Order: sequence, then C-alpha cells, then structure tokens
Amino acid sequence: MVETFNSSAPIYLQLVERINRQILRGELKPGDKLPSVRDMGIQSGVNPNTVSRTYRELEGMKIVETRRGQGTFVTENHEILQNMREQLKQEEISHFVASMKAMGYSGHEIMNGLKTFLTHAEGSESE
Amino acid sequence: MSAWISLVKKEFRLGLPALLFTVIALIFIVGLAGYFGARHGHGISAAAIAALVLIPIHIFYLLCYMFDSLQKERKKLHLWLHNPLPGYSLLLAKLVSALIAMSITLFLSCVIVLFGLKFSSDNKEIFHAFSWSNIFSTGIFSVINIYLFALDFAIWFIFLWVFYRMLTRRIGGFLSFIITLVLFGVLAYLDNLLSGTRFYEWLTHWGKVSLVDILTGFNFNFSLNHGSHLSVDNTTVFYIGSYVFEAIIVAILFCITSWILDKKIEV
Amino acid sequence: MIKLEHVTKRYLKATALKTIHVTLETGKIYGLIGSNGSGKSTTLKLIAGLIQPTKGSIEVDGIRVDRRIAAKVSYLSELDEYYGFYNVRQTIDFFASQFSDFNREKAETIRDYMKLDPESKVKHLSKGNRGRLKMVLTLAREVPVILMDEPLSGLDPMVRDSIVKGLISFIDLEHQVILITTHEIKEVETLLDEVIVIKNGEIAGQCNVDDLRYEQNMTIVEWMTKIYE
Repeated sequence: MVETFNSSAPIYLQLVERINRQILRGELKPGDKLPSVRDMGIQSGVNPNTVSRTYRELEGMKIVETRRGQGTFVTENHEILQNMREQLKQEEISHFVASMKAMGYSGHEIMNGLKTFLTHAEGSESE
Repeated sequence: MSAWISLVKKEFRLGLPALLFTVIALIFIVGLAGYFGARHGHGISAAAIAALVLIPIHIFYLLCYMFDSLQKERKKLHLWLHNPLPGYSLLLAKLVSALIAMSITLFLSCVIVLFGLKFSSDNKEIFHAFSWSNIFSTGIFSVINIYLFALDFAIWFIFLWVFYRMLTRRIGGFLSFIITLVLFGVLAYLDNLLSGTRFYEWLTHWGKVSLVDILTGFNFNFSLNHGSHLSVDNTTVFYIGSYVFEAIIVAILFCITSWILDKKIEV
Repeated sequence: MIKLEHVTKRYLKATALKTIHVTLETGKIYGLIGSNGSGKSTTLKLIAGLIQPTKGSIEVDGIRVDRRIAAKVSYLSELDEYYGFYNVRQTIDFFASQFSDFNREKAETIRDYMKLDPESKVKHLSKGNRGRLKMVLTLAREVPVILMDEPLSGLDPMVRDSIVKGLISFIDLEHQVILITTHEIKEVETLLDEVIVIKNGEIAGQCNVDDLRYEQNMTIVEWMTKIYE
C-alpha cells in the first residue's frame, strides 16, 4: 500500500523525518545507500520530484551525501548523526513539554510524572 | 505504411459483421430464388437471375458499409481520431476495407450468374445473341462502372457525414441534419444545372467511346473464333471526359472531408 | 511543454472555458481539479486536439494543435471504449502499430505489473481491468505529453493504488509532462507537483503542492474547498 502522509506538513519534510528515523533506528546505517529517487518514489507512493527535494534537504542537513554516478548515501560522519539524534530529541521533548504546559502541568509535575512512567515502563520491560 | 496496413486490418475486423451479414443475405436470397424456381423446374436460372439483380445493387455497398463503420466509430471518436495519421489515411483505410468486402460479395454474385449461364438449359437462346466473350466484356464494363458509382456514392456520403458531425457539436443535431440535407440538395441541384449547360458539354464531352467499340474490342481480343452478333444501332455512347470530371469532383470532396476530419471534428 | 493562451471554449448551450492561460512544463505532474462541469475534460480534449478552441491558441512543443498532435500526446479518455473484438494483447498490438513511440517491452512490463491477462477479451474486462488496460496503453508510449482524464474514477481502492504506483513507476519525468484530472484528490496528492484549480471555466488558482502545505499549511482538498466557498 501507498504509505500515508499526514496533512499538516509538506510531504518532502515528512519524508525527511521518516528517513531520519530510519537512521536513528539503525534500519539505515552510516554509509548505506538510499534507494534511487525513482525507487524511493515507488516505495513511498510519492512523486520522484518530491523525493529529489527530500534528498536535497537531507543533503543540506549533511545527513546524506550524493556521490556522482553512484547514488545517495547516509553520511559516515558520526558527529553529524549524533547531532541529528540530539536535535530530534530536543524537538520531541519541546513538543511534549509545550503540550503538557498548555494543559497546565508544572515543570515539576512533568518531571515526576516522567520519572514514574519510565520506572514503570522499564519495570515491565524487564519482566 | 505498416501503421496504415494495421489500420486497414482493424477496419476490416470492425466491418466483418456487416460483411458476414451481406454474404448470408446474398446466399439466402439466391437460395430462396433457386428454391422457388426449382418448383417450376428452373432452379438454376432463378438463382442466377436473383444474383444478376443483386449485382447492380452493389453500387450502394460502399455507402452502406461506410455508414455502418462510421456509426460504430461514433462512440469511439476519441479512439479513432487520436491517431497521428492524416485524415485521408483514416478514411482510405475504411474505404479499402469496404472495397475488399464489396469485392467478396460482388465476386460471389458474378460467379453465381456465370454458373447459371453455363449450366442452365434455359439460357441457350442467350448464346445465340451473345458469345461468352460478349458476356465477359459487358460484365467487366458493368463491374468497373459499379465500382466507380459505389466509390462516388460512398465519398459523397462520408463528405455529408463529416459535414454533419462538424455542425452537430456547434448547432445541435436537428439543425445540422437540416443544413446537411439542404447542402446535399443544393449540390445535387447545381450538378444537375451544370450538366445541362454547353459549358459542361464542352468540359466533359471528350474521349468518346461507344459501348460497341469496347464490346467488339474485347470480343476481338478474347475470342477470334466467335463472331459478334451485336447490332451497332443499339450503341451506348459515353465520354471519358465525364468520368474524369466526376473523379475530380469526388477528389475535391474527399480532400475537404479529410480536412474537416483533421481540423473541425469534435469528439 | 504545453501552452494555452486566451483559450475560450463555447459549446452550443454553455461556455466551458473562459480566457484560460496556462503553461505546463516538462518534468512535472500537474493535477487539474474542480467540480463536475468546471471544464477539466474540455481542457484535456483541447490539448489533445480532439476539440477546437472558440478563441485563443494551444501549443504543444511549439506546434499549434489539431487532431494529429496525437503524435506527441498520449491521451487517456474518461470513457473506456475500446474495440470489443480485440483481446488485451491484440489491443496492445494495435496501439503499438499506430504509434511509433510505443514501447512494446514497456507495455508488456506494465501489463504484467497490472496483472492483466493478455488473452482476455476487451469486452469482457471488468471496469477495474479496463482502467488498468488504459494505463498500459497510455504509459507505454515514449511521448512528451501524457493527459489522463479521471484515471481513478469509479475504481476500487486496490485498483486505484496499483494505478497510482504504476504511474510513478512508468512515467519518465525527465522527458514528460503529465496532466491528470481527478476527483480522487487524496489519492493523487503525493503524486502531484502542481495543482490547478478550475472553477466555472476559469483558473481559480495554481500552486506547488508542498509550497501550499509549507506556506499556507493546507492540503489540496482544503485549498480547493476554500476556493469554491
């Protein structure tokens, strides 16, 4: 099936995010080759031009590099990948905190709630 | 060229039901005539006469075939017209497949007639007046004229069809039909008017050939042994000029038709 | 490249298009959307040279169009009338014979991809399979312009999915421009570069799909709804 995209953000940015997550999860490793623009388009049901724009965006972020005549590869520069990892974490936390604050929770409550949640979650994982 | 040949094949396939229908109708009519004739002891003659009557009706064959073919295309105009070939190619493909179909039933009719002449004892007297070569030469002359008339009618028809289709998207079906009819009437009237004039005579009355020339000519060529028994006073005269004139008119009509098909037809 | 300048199309009873200006560039997929009767099909037929503008001019690759622009344009009609006496293979053969740019191998690949039985008679095909056959015939041509009138209409989700994916797989964006009319906007949203909204025979808006999302935070459906309000 064609993967679904949500309606709030540009498709090429959603694809950027998708690829970033694949790298974080280790599905794409440093030095791995990304599918060709065409194949990526077919896989994700997206216009090849959109895929090109995605790859250009990733290139701008230095997360991938295009080698002439060979294709597009995930960077082997671990510092950049580490930065990306850090940045995504910050983004996700700020989203979370912002919506918690919007509901009226204090920083302290959030911290405690998170601690308790994680203890429970890790406890159930180890069982 | 191969694109065009493939198109002719498609047209022939499109017209195949019409061809089968005419062949079956021919066999049915001849068979029926033969059956009733046989009750009175003249089966072969009756069948041959029926076939003989059917031969001149072939002048309407191409017209009917084109009508059928174009009507079938009416719902598929976006298919038929979405083609890089020029309009005259599209139309010629239809005409050629129509000619092939016509030749099949015309040939069948002629064979039945000849068969009847050969094997029916009723026709002995005919051979007193005509020799086989006379019959062949008359036949060939008639068949050529049947083809020419059939082509003439068919081209007039596709011209009117295309003209009607051009108008129908612009001013509606009813009015288009009336205008097409009026156009046909006017053209027929003008043609009639023209053919009465000295100018027309001057234009077409050249290349005089009398039928008897042809017949005896053929006679002479085909069978030196048989004498001609035709009397010369029954000569029909015709002019090559009038054929050329009609051919030019039909060619002009065909060009206009192709142009309308390329530039003015809407799907 | 397709260029429509000052194009007006009047029919017997109604004006279908009013002074349209559009330029479509090679390398992009355009979506033409709008309500029923807004002039979408008329626009496609005009570009295919199958109808003539009342006013204005239409050019494909600098050539003023008439019927014979078929040499440069592959047109998929919203009708699915084919010659019923042919089977799938014969229909493909016939198209291959008529268009010199028809790529037999590609047609075979697409037919295979669309899981069409070459021996089935066209008149016995289901609606879904007729839709698939149309895709085979339209996309197998190596042609600069592809026009598709409602390629998804009336088809079930599986067929729509195979058609959208087939489109991405088999078009050649380096050399082609594709113009699609559709009501199934959500299905083609990820497919389009640009979208043109047409309303009552006039162009009501044209923009890049991702820019629309980025700058106005709107999907095509939302944008079209806003224009039609």
